[in-house]
Amino acid sequence: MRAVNPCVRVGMILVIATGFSNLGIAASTDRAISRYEAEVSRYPERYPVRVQLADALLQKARESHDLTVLEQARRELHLSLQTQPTYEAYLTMARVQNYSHHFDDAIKWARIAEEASPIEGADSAITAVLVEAYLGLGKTADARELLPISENEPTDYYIAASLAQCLRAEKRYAEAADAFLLAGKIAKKANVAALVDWAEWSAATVRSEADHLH
Amino acid sequence: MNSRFFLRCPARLRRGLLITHLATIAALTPVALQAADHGDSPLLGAIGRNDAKLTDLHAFTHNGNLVIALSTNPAIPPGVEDYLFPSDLTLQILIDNDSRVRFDDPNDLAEFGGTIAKPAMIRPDIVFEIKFDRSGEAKVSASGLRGPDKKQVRLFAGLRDDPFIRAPRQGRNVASIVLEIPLSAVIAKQSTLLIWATSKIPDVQGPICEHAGRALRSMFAENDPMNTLRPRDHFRILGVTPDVMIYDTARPAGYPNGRLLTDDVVDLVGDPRILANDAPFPSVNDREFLADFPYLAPPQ
Repeated sequence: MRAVNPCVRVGMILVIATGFSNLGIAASTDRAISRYEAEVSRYPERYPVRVQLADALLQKARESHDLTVLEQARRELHLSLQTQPTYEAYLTMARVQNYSHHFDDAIKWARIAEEASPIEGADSAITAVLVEAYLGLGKTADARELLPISENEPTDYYIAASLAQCLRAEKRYAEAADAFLLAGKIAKKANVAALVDWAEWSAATVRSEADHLH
Repeated sequence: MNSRFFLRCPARLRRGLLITHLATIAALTPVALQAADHGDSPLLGAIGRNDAKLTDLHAFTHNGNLVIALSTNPAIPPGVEDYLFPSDLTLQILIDNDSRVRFDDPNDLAEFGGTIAKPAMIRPDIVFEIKFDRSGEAKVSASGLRGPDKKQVRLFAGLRDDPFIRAPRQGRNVASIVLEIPLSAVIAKQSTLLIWATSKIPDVQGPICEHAGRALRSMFAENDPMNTLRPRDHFRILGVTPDVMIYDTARPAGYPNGRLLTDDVVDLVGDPRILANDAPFPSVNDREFLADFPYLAPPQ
Protein backbone atom coordinates (compact mmCIF):
# COMPACT_ATOMS: atom_id res chain seq x y z
CA MET A 1 0.00 0.00 0.00
CA ARG A 2 1.34 3.41 -0.88
CA ALA A 3 2.16 5.89 1.82
CA VAL A 4 -0.67 8.00 3.08
CA ASN A 5 -0.86 10.45 5.91
CA PRO A 6 -0.88 8.27 9.07
CA CYS A 7 -4.18 9.75 10.15
CA VAL A 8 -5.79 8.89 6.84
CA ARG A 9 -4.22 5.46 6.82
CA VAL A 10 -5.73 4.72 10.20
CA GLY A 11 -9.02 6.00 8.88
CA MET A 12 -8.81 3.63 5.93
CA ILE A 13 -8.16 0.68 8.17
CA LEU A 14 -10.99 1.79 10.40
CA VAL A 15 -13.31 1.99 7.47
CA ILE A 16 -12.58 -1.57 6.50
CA ALA A 17 -12.39 -3.05 9.96
CA THR A 18 -16.09 -3.54 10.41
CA GLY A 19 -17.17 -4.58 13.81
CA PHE A 20 -13.73 -4.89 15.25
CA SER A 21 -14.34 -2.51 18.07
CA ASN A 22 -11.92 -4.57 20.11
CA LEU A 23 -9.05 -3.46 17.93
CA GLY A 24 -8.54 -0.47 20.14
CA ILE A 25 -8.71 1.93 17.24
CA ALA A 26 -11.59 4.07 18.39
CA ALA A 27 -9.20 6.76 19.55
CA SER A 28 -7.74 6.90 16.06
CA THR A 29 -11.20 7.39 14.60
CA ASP A 30 -11.69 10.29 16.96
CA ARG A 31 -8.38 11.76 15.84
CA ALA A 32 -9.40 11.43 12.20
CA ILE A 33 -12.72 13.13 12.91
CA SER A 34 -11.00 15.95 14.79
CA ARG A 35 -8.53 16.48 11.98
CA TYR A 36 -11.20 16.58 9.28
CA GLU A 37 -13.45 18.81 11.39
CA ALA A 38 -10.61 21.26 11.87
CA GLU A 39 -9.87 21.23 8.15
CA VAL A 40 -13.44 21.90 7.02
CA SER A 41 -13.82 24.54 9.68
CA ARG A 42 -10.81 26.36 8.23
CA TYR A 43 -11.55 25.51 4.60
CA PRO A 44 -15.31 25.05 4.31
CA GLU A 45 -15.04 24.78 0.53
CA ARG A 46 -13.08 21.52 0.70
CA TYR A 47 -15.87 19.23 -0.34
CA PRO A 48 -13.71 16.08 -0.62
CA VAL A 49 -12.68 16.50 3.02
CA ARG A 50 -16.31 16.72 4.09
CA VAL A 51 -16.87 13.31 2.51
CA GLN A 52 -13.83 11.95 4.34
CA LEU A 53 -15.25 13.40 7.57
CA ALA A 54 -18.61 11.74 6.90
CA ASP A 55 -16.82 8.45 6.29
CA ALA A 56 -14.97 8.76 9.59
CA LEU A 57 -18.24 9.57 11.37
CA LEU A 58 -19.79 6.46 9.85
CA GLN A 59 -16.90 4.47 11.24
CA LYS A 60 -17.47 6.10 14.61
CA ALA A 61 -21.06 4.88 14.48
CA ARG A 62 -19.88 1.36 13.70
CA GLU A 63 -17.49 1.33 16.61
CA SER A 64 -19.70 3.00 19.18
CA HIS A 65 -23.16 1.97 17.98
CA ASP A 66 -24.03 5.63 18.50
CA LEU A 67 -26.18 6.40 15.51
CA THR A 68 -26.56 10.06 16.43
CA VAL A 69 -23.24 10.84 14.75
CA LEU A 70 -24.81 9.82 11.46
CA GLU A 71 -26.85 13.01 11.48
CA GLN A 72 -23.61 14.97 11.35
CA ALA A 73 -22.37 12.65 8.60
CA ARG A 74 -25.47 13.40 6.54
CA ARG A 75 -25.06 17.13 7.16
CA GLU A 76 -21.46 17.03 5.97
CA LEU A 77 -22.45 15.09 2.87
CA HIS A 78 -25.22 17.55 2.03
CA LEU A 79 -22.78 20.45 2.44
CA SER A 80 -20.27 18.64 0.25
CA LEU A 81 -22.88 18.02 -2.42
CA GLN A 82 -24.02 21.64 -2.30
CA THR A 83 -20.46 22.70 -3.09
CA GLN A 84 -19.75 20.06 -5.71
CA PRO A 85 -21.73 16.91 -6.54
CA THR A 86 -19.38 13.93 -6.45
CA TYR A 87 -19.45 10.17 -6.82
CA GLU A 88 -17.78 9.83 -3.43
CA ALA A 89 -20.48 11.85 -1.64
CA TYR A 90 -23.28 9.87 -3.28
CA LEU A 91 -21.68 6.54 -2.41
CA THR A 92 -20.94 7.56 1.18
CA MET A 93 -24.51 8.78 1.58
CA ALA A 94 -25.73 5.38 0.41
CA ARG A 95 -23.51 3.70 3.00
CA VAL A 96 -24.73 6.01 5.76
CA GLN A 97 -28.33 5.30 4.83
CA ASN A 98 -27.67 1.57 4.83
CA TYR A 99 -26.20 1.76 8.29
CA SER A 100 -29.22 3.78 9.40
CA HIS A 101 -31.44 1.03 7.95
CA HIS A 102 -32.94 3.49 5.47
CA PHE A 103 -32.49 0.87 2.82
CA ASP A 104 -34.80 2.36 0.19
CA ASP A 105 -32.95 5.63 0.45
CA ALA A 106 -29.62 3.82 0.28
CA ILE A 107 -30.68 2.26 -3.00
CA LYS A 108 -31.66 5.68 -4.34
CA TRP A 109 -28.27 7.18 -3.50
CA ALA A 110 -26.41 4.14 -4.78
CA ARG A 111 -28.19 4.42 -8.13
CA ILE A 112 -27.14 8.09 -8.38
CA ALA A 113 -23.57 7.11 -7.51
CA GLU A 114 -23.72 4.45 -10.21
CA GLU A 115 -24.24 7.15 -12.84
CA ALA A 116 -21.11 8.94 -11.67
CA SER A 117 -18.93 5.89 -11.19
CA PRO A 118 -15.49 6.06 -12.78
CA ILE A 119 -15.51 2.28 -13.13
CA GLU A 120 -16.16 0.80 -16.55
CA GLY A 121 -18.83 -1.86 -16.17
CA ALA A 122 -20.23 -2.87 -12.80
CA ASP A 123 -18.82 -0.95 -9.84
CA SER A 124 -18.46 -3.61 -7.16
CA ALA A 125 -18.47 -1.02 -4.36
CA ILE A 126 -21.94 0.04 -5.48
CA THR A 127 -23.02 -3.55 -5.99
CA ALA A 128 -22.09 -4.24 -2.38
CA VAL A 129 -24.15 -1.26 -1.15
CA LEU A 130 -27.14 -2.44 -3.16
CA VAL A 131 -26.81 -6.05 -2.02
CA GLU A 132 -26.70 -4.87 1.56
CA ALA A 133 -29.76 -2.68 1.06
CA TYR A 134 -31.82 -5.39 -0.63
CA LEU A 135 -30.88 -7.89 2.05
CA GLY A 136 -31.89 -5.33 4.65
CA LEU A 137 -35.28 -5.07 2.92
CA GLY A 138 -35.61 -8.84 2.90
CA LYS A 139 -35.36 -8.94 -0.91
CA THR A 140 -32.82 -11.70 -1.13
CA ALA A 141 -33.60 -12.57 -4.75
CA ASP A 142 -33.09 -8.95 -5.80
CA ALA A 143 -29.78 -8.90 -3.95
CA ARG A 144 -28.68 -12.12 -5.55
CA GLU A 145 -29.53 -10.85 -9.02
CA LEU A 146 -26.98 -8.08 -8.63
CA LEU A 147 -24.12 -10.51 -8.28
CA PRO A 148 -22.38 -11.69 -11.43
CA ILE A 149 -23.10 -15.25 -12.47
CA SER A 150 -19.84 -17.03 -13.04
CA GLU A 151 -18.50 -20.52 -12.87
CA ASN A 152 -15.34 -19.09 -11.40
CA GLU A 153 -14.86 -17.96 -7.84
CA PRO A 154 -15.13 -14.20 -7.29
CA THR A 155 -11.78 -12.40 -7.27
CA ASP A 156 -13.23 -9.17 -5.88
CA TYR A 157 -13.61 -8.77 -2.13
CA TYR A 158 -16.84 -6.82 -2.41
CA ILE A 159 -18.39 -9.50 -4.57
CA ALA A 160 -17.15 -12.39 -2.44
CA ALA A 161 -18.41 -10.75 0.75
CA SER A 162 -21.73 -9.84 -0.88
CA LEU A 163 -22.15 -13.40 -2.15
CA ALA A 164 -21.46 -14.70 1.34
CA GLN A 165 -24.15 -12.45 2.79
CA CYS A 166 -26.66 -13.56 0.17
CA LEU A 167 -25.92 -17.22 0.84
CA ARG A 168 -26.28 -16.58 4.54
CA ALA A 169 -29.67 -14.95 3.98
CA GLU A 170 -30.65 -18.01 1.94
CA LYS A 171 -29.58 -20.15 4.90
CA ARG A 172 -26.95 -21.88 2.79
CA TYR A 173 -24.56 -21.66 5.67
CA ALA A 174 -21.78 -23.96 4.51
CA GLU A 175 -21.52 -22.16 1.16
CA ALA A 176 -21.72 -18.80 2.95
CA ALA A 177 -18.83 -19.80 5.19
CA ASP A 178 -16.80 -20.80 2.15
CA ALA A 179 -17.54 -17.47 0.48
CA PHE A 180 -16.46 -15.60 3.60
CA LEU A 181 -13.24 -17.58 3.65
CA LEU A 182 -12.70 -16.76 0.00
CA ALA A 183 -13.15 -13.08 0.86
CA GLY A 184 -10.58 -13.60 3.57
CA LYS A 185 -8.14 -15.06 1.06
CA ILE A 186 -8.59 -12.03 -1.19
CA ALA A 187 -7.98 -9.76 1.78
CA LYS A 188 -4.90 -11.77 2.72
CA LYS A 189 -3.54 -11.39 -0.77
CA ALA A 190 -4.01 -7.64 -0.43
CA ASN A 191 -2.36 -7.67 3.02
CA VAL A 192 -5.37 -6.27 4.83
CA ALA A 193 -5.17 -8.18 8.08
CA ALA A 194 -8.27 -6.68 9.67
CA LEU A 195 -10.38 -7.92 6.79
CA VAL A 196 -8.85 -11.38 6.94
CA ASP A 197 -9.88 -11.49 10.59
CA TRP A 198 -13.34 -10.17 9.77
CA ALA A 199 -13.90 -12.72 7.04
CA GLU A 200 -12.73 -15.62 9.18
CA TRP A 201 -14.82 -14.39 12.09
CA SER A 202 -17.84 -14.15 9.78
CA ALA A 203 -17.24 -17.68 8.47
CA ALA A 204 -17.08 -19.00 12.03
CA THR A 205 -20.23 -17.08 12.94
CA VAL A 206 -22.12 -18.54 10.01
CA ARG A 207 -20.99 -22.03 10.93
CA SER A 208 -22.17 -21.51 14.50
CA GLU A 209 -25.53 -20.31 13.19
CA ALA A 210 -25.80 -23.53 11.19
CA ASP A 211 -24.83 -25.63 14.20
CA HIS A 212 -27.40 -23.81 16.29
CA LEU A 213 -30.13 -24.62 13.78
CA HIS A 214 -29.16 -28.26 13.75
CA MET B 1 -34.31 -11.39 6.16
CA ASN B 2 -36.47 -8.29 6.56
CA SER B 3 -35.54 -5.00 8.10
CA ARG B 4 -37.39 -5.74 11.29
CA PHE B 5 -35.38 -8.90 11.74
CA PHE B 6 -32.30 -6.93 10.94
CA LEU B 7 -33.06 -4.36 13.61
CA ARG B 8 -33.66 -7.07 16.19
CA CYS B 9 -30.38 -8.78 15.45
CA PRO B 10 -27.70 -8.64 18.07
CA ALA B 11 -25.10 -6.04 17.25
CA ARG B 12 -22.50 -8.66 16.40
CA LEU B 13 -24.80 -10.23 13.85
CA ARG B 14 -25.73 -6.86 12.43
CA ARG B 15 -22.08 -6.08 11.97
CA GLY B 16 -21.81 -9.29 10.06
CA LEU B 17 -24.43 -8.16 7.61
CA LEU B 18 -22.84 -4.85 6.85
CA ILE B 19 -20.54 -5.42 3.98
CA THR B 20 -20.42 -2.31 1.92
CA HIS B 21 -17.76 -0.52 3.88
CA LEU B 22 -15.53 -3.49 4.23
CA ALA B 23 -13.33 -3.01 1.29
CA THR B 24 -12.76 0.56 0.45
CA ILE B 25 -9.19 -0.37 -0.22
CA ALA B 26 -9.20 -0.86 -3.91
CA ALA B 27 -6.47 -3.44 -3.76
CA LEU B 28 -9.22 -5.82 -2.82
CA THR B 29 -10.86 -5.30 -6.13
CA PRO B 30 -9.22 -6.81 -9.15
CA VAL B 31 -8.06 -4.03 -11.36
CA ALA B 32 -10.97 -3.43 -13.63
CA LEU B 33 -9.14 -1.98 -16.55
CA GLN B 34 -9.87 1.68 -16.86
CA ALA B 35 -8.12 2.92 -19.90
CA ALA B 36 -5.90 5.98 -20.19
CA ASP B 37 -5.20 7.09 -16.67
CA HIS B 38 -8.84 7.01 -15.66
CA GLY B 39 -8.65 4.15 -13.23
CA ASP B 40 -5.11 3.92 -11.95
CA SER B 41 -3.77 4.96 -8.55
CA PRO B 42 -6.43 2.95 -6.71
CA LEU B 43 -5.40 4.51 -3.43
CA LEU B 44 -6.86 7.83 -4.51
CA GLY B 45 -10.20 6.19 -5.15
CA ALA B 46 -9.98 4.37 -1.84
CA ILE B 47 -9.57 7.58 0.14
CA GLY B 48 -12.30 9.33 -1.81
CA ARG B 49 -10.04 11.57 -3.87
CA ASN B 50 -10.83 10.82 -7.49
CA ASP B 51 -10.39 14.56 -8.01
CA ALA B 52 -6.61 14.03 -7.75
CA LYS B 53 -6.56 11.40 -10.48
CA LEU B 54 -5.05 12.39 -13.80
CA THR B 55 -7.02 11.02 -16.70
CA ASP B 56 -5.24 12.20 -19.85
CA LEU B 57 -2.26 14.24 -21.02
CA HIS B 58 -2.11 15.73 -24.50
CA ALA B 59 0.67 17.81 -26.09
CA PHE B 60 0.79 19.34 -29.54
CA THR B 61 1.68 22.59 -31.24
CA HIS B 62 -0.64 25.16 -32.73
CA ASN B 63 0.46 28.30 -34.57
CA GLY B 64 3.93 28.17 -33.06
CA ASN B 65 2.67 27.58 -29.56
CA LEU B 66 3.03 24.50 -27.38
CA VAL B 67 -0.33 23.32 -26.06
CA ILE B 68 -0.53 20.94 -23.10
CA ALA B 69 -3.89 19.67 -21.88
CA LEU B 70 -4.10 17.82 -18.59
CA SER B 71 -7.41 16.27 -17.58
CA THR B 72 -8.39 15.08 -14.12
CA ASN B 73 -11.18 13.38 -12.17
CA PRO B 74 -12.91 10.49 -13.95
CA ALA B 75 -15.78 10.49 -11.44
CA ILE B 76 -17.58 13.75 -12.15
CA PRO B 77 -21.32 13.02 -12.21
CA PRO B 78 -23.01 13.52 -15.57
CA GLY B 79 -25.06 16.68 -15.71
CA VAL B 80 -22.81 18.68 -13.41
CA GLU B 81 -22.46 22.15 -14.94
CA ASP B 82 -19.65 23.66 -12.89
CA TYR B 83 -16.53 22.30 -11.33
CA LEU B 84 -14.68 23.53 -8.29
CA PHE B 85 -11.09 22.35 -8.21
CA PRO B 86 -10.27 21.47 -4.59
CA SER B 87 -8.08 24.05 -2.89
CA ASP B 88 -5.74 21.37 -1.51
CA LEU B 89 -4.93 19.97 -4.95
CA THR B 90 -1.65 20.80 -6.69
CA LEU B 91 -1.05 19.86 -10.31
CA GLN B 92 2.28 20.05 -12.05
CA ILE B 93 3.19 19.87 -15.71
CA LEU B 94 6.88 19.19 -16.13
CA ILE B 95 9.16 19.50 -19.14
CA ASP B 96 12.70 18.23 -19.64
CA ASN B 97 14.00 20.16 -22.63
CA ASP B 98 17.56 18.88 -22.83
CA SER B 99 17.56 15.10 -22.39
CA ARG B 100 18.90 13.58 -25.57
CA VAL B 101 16.52 11.32 -27.48
CA ARG B 102 17.46 8.99 -30.31
CA PHE B 103 15.07 7.85 -33.01
CA ASP B 104 17.03 4.91 -34.42
CA ASP B 105 15.41 2.05 -32.53
CA PRO B 106 12.21 1.11 -34.37
CA ASN B 107 10.73 -0.67 -31.39
CA ASP B 108 11.24 2.25 -29.00
CA LEU B 109 10.10 4.63 -31.69
CA ALA B 110 6.85 2.76 -32.10
CA GLU B 111 6.21 2.24 -28.40
CA PHE B 112 7.60 5.34 -26.74
CA GLY B 113 8.28 7.80 -29.55
CA GLY B 114 12.05 7.42 -29.24
CA THR B 115 14.88 6.25 -27.03
CA ILE B 116 15.96 8.40 -24.12
CA ALA B 117 19.76 8.25 -24.10
CA LYS B 118 20.21 8.70 -20.34
CA PRO B 119 16.95 7.83 -18.60
CA ALA B 120 18.50 8.11 -15.14
CA MET B 121 19.25 11.77 -15.86
CA ILE B 122 15.74 12.96 -16.67
CA ARG B 123 15.03 16.15 -14.77
CA PRO B 124 12.40 18.85 -15.23
CA ASP B 125 13.83 22.06 -16.61
CA ILE B 126 10.46 23.81 -16.68
CA VAL B 127 7.68 23.25 -14.16
CA PHE B 128 4.20 24.68 -14.39
CA GLU B 129 2.52 24.42 -11.01
CA ILE B 130 -1.22 24.92 -10.86
CA LYS B 131 -2.95 25.60 -7.55
CA PHE B 132 -6.49 26.64 -6.80
CA ASP B 133 -7.76 29.29 -4.46
CA ARG B 134 -10.79 28.88 -2.25
CA SER B 135 -13.13 29.84 -5.05
CA GLY B 136 -11.51 27.25 -7.30
CA GLU B 137 -9.73 29.77 -9.48
CA ALA B 138 -6.54 28.37 -10.94
CA LYS B 139 -3.20 30.10 -10.46
CA VAL B 140 -0.21 28.96 -12.46
CA SER B 141 3.38 29.58 -11.52
CA ALA B 142 6.20 28.67 -13.85
CA SER B 143 9.78 27.91 -12.94
CA GLY B 144 12.54 27.53 -15.50
CA LEU B 145 11.08 30.07 -17.90
CA ARG B 146 12.66 33.40 -18.70
CA GLY B 147 10.88 36.31 -17.00
CA PRO B 148 9.14 37.73 -20.08
CA ASP B 149 8.04 34.24 -21.16
CA LYS B 150 6.22 33.69 -17.88
CA LYS B 151 3.79 36.41 -18.88
CA GLN B 152 2.95 34.58 -22.08
CA VAL B 153 1.49 31.51 -20.41
CA ARG B 154 -2.17 31.15 -21.28
CA LEU B 155 -4.25 29.08 -18.87
CA PHE B 156 -7.66 27.46 -18.95
CA ALA B 157 -9.10 25.52 -16.02
CA GLY B 158 -12.58 24.07 -15.93
CA LEU B 159 -15.11 21.44 -16.85
CA ARG B 160 -14.69 19.90 -20.32
CA ASP B 161 -15.95 16.94 -22.27
CA ASP B 162 -13.72 13.92 -21.59
CA PRO B 163 -11.35 13.93 -24.59
CA PHE B 164 -10.57 10.25 -24.21
CA ILE B 165 -11.86 8.45 -27.30
CA ARG B 166 -13.42 5.46 -25.67
CA ALA B 167 -16.96 4.11 -25.59
CA PRO B 168 -17.48 4.00 -21.81
CA ARG B 169 -16.35 7.62 -21.52
CA GLN B 170 -18.82 9.03 -24.00
CA GLY B 171 -21.12 11.51 -22.33
CA ARG B 172 -18.72 12.06 -19.45
CA ASN B 173 -16.86 15.19 -18.41
CA VAL B 174 -13.52 15.78 -16.77
CA ALA B 175 -11.84 18.75 -15.09
CA SER B 176 -9.14 20.04 -17.37
CA ILE B 177 -6.18 22.36 -17.41
CA VAL B 178 -4.94 23.71 -20.71
CA LEU B 179 -1.66 25.62 -21.02
CA GLU B 180 -0.52 27.38 -24.14
CA ILE B 181 2.90 29.03 -24.45
CA PRO B 182 5.16 30.06 -27.31
CA LEU B 183 7.20 27.03 -28.30
CA SER B 184 10.29 29.21 -28.34
CA ALA B 185 9.90 29.75 -24.62
CA VAL B 186 10.32 26.07 -23.80
CA ILE B 187 12.77 24.92 -26.46
CA ALA B 188 16.42 25.03 -25.47
CA LYS B 189 19.15 23.29 -27.49
CA GLN B 190 16.97 20.70 -29.20
CA SER B 191 13.50 20.33 -30.60
CA THR B 192 12.60 17.33 -28.47
CA LEU B 193 10.78 17.64 -25.15
CA LEU B 194 9.98 15.11 -22.46
CA ILE B 195 6.63 15.97 -20.87
CA TRP B 196 4.82 14.51 -17.87
CA ALA B 197 2.35 15.61 -15.19
CA THR B 198 1.69 14.91 -11.54
CA SER B 199 -0.92 15.60 -8.89
CA LYS B 200 -0.53 16.03 -5.16
CA ILE B 201 -2.87 16.24 -2.18
CA PRO B 202 -1.78 16.52 1.46
CA ASP B 203 -3.35 13.20 2.48
CA VAL B 204 -0.86 11.18 0.44
CA GLN B 205 2.71 11.33 1.64
CA GLY B 206 5.52 11.97 -0.78
CA PRO B 207 5.85 14.50 -3.57
CA ILE B 208 3.58 12.71 -6.06
CA CYS B 209 0.29 10.90 -5.70
CA GLU B 210 -0.48 10.40 -9.38
CA HIS B 211 1.53 10.54 -12.59
CA ALA B 212 0.69 10.79 -16.28
CA GLY B 213 3.13 10.47 -19.17
CA ARG B 214 2.61 8.56 -22.38
CA ALA B 215 -0.98 7.45 -22.87
CA LEU B 216 -1.93 4.02 -21.57
CA ARG B 217 1.12 3.13 -19.52
CA SER B 218 0.84 4.00 -15.84
CA MET B 219 -2.80 2.89 -15.79
CA PHE B 220 -1.87 -0.78 -15.93
CA ALA B 221 -1.74 -2.50 -12.56
CA GLU B 222 1.80 -3.70 -13.16
CA ASN B 223 2.85 -0.09 -13.73
CA ASP B 224 1.06 1.41 -10.74
CA PRO B 225 4.37 2.01 -8.88
CA MET B 226 5.20 4.53 -11.61
CA ASN B 227 2.50 6.77 -10.22
CA THR B 228 4.46 7.82 -7.14
CA LEU B 229 7.94 7.98 -8.64
CA ARG B 230 9.75 10.57 -10.68
CA PRO B 231 10.43 9.43 -14.25
CA ARG B 232 14.15 8.92 -13.65
CA ASP B 233 13.20 6.60 -10.79
CA HIS B 234 11.03 4.55 -13.13
CA PHE B 235 14.37 3.57 -14.63
CA ARG B 236 16.55 3.64 -11.53
CA ILE B 237 14.16 1.88 -9.14
CA LEU B 238 11.75 -0.02 -11.33
CA GLY B 239 14.18 -0.73 -14.15
CA VAL B 240 11.73 0.27 -16.87
CA THR B 241 11.65 2.94 -19.55
CA PRO B 242 10.53 6.15 -17.85
CA ASP B 243 6.91 7.05 -18.44
CA VAL B 244 7.19 10.40 -20.14
CA MET B 245 5.71 11.73 -23.34
CA ILE B 246 8.43 12.18 -25.93
CA TYR B 247 7.60 15.02 -28.26
CA ASP B 248 9.92 16.07 -31.06
CA THR B 249 8.35 19.40 -31.93
CA ALA B 250 10.18 19.47 -35.27
CA ARG B 251 7.92 16.66 -36.45
CA PRO B 252 4.13 16.59 -36.62
CA ALA B 253 2.47 15.71 -33.32
CA GLY B 254 0.63 12.42 -33.09
CA TYR B 255 0.92 9.47 -30.76
CA PRO B 256 3.54 8.45 -29.72
CA ASN B 257 5.20 11.73 -30.72
CA GLY B 258 3.30 13.99 -28.36
CA ARG B 259 -0.43 13.35 -28.45
CA LEU B 260 -3.16 15.03 -30.44
CA LEU B 261 -6.65 15.37 -29.04
CA THR B 262 -7.84 13.33 -32.00
CA ASP B 263 -5.47 10.41 -31.40
CA ASP B 264 -7.46 7.25 -30.77
CA VAL B 265 -4.86 5.84 -28.40
CA VAL B 266 -6.98 2.82 -27.53
CA ASP B 267 -6.60 1.55 -31.08
CA LEU B 268 -3.10 2.93 -31.52
CA VAL B 269 -1.80 1.12 -28.45
CA GLY B 270 -3.94 -1.89 -29.22
CA ASP B 271 -3.56 -3.61 -25.88
CA PRO B 272 -6.22 -6.34 -25.78
CA ARG B 273 -6.91 -5.59 -22.14
CA ILE B 274 -8.11 -2.13 -23.13
CA LEU B 275 -9.73 -3.01 -26.40
CA ALA B 276 -11.98 -5.49 -24.63
CA ASN B 277 -14.16 -2.78 -23.07
CA ASP B 278 -14.19 -0.34 -25.96
CA ALA B 279 -17.11 -1.63 -28.04
CA PRO B 280 -18.40 -0.22 -30.36
CA PHE B 281 -14.82 1.05 -30.81
CA PRO B 282 -15.26 4.77 -31.51
CA SER B 283 -12.45 6.34 -33.50
CA VAL B 284 -13.45 9.96 -32.96
CA ASN B 285 -14.51 11.87 -29.88
CA ASP B 286 -18.22 12.14 -29.18
CA ARG B 287 -17.95 15.95 -29.19
CA GLU B 288 -16.00 17.96 -31.70
CA PHE B 289 -12.83 19.58 -30.44
CA LEU B 290 -12.42 23.33 -30.76
CA ALA B 291 -10.14 24.85 -33.39
CA ASP B 292 -8.80 27.37 -30.91
CA PHE B 293 -7.93 27.68 -27.26
CA PRO B 294 -8.80 25.81 -25.06
CA TYR B 295 -9.20 23.18 -27.81
CA LEU B 296 -11.01 20.67 -25.60
CA ALA B 297 -14.72 20.30 -26.30
CA PRO B 298 -17.25 22.00 -24.02
CA PRO B 299 -18.77 19.85 -21.28
CA GLN B 300 -21.82 17.71 -21.93
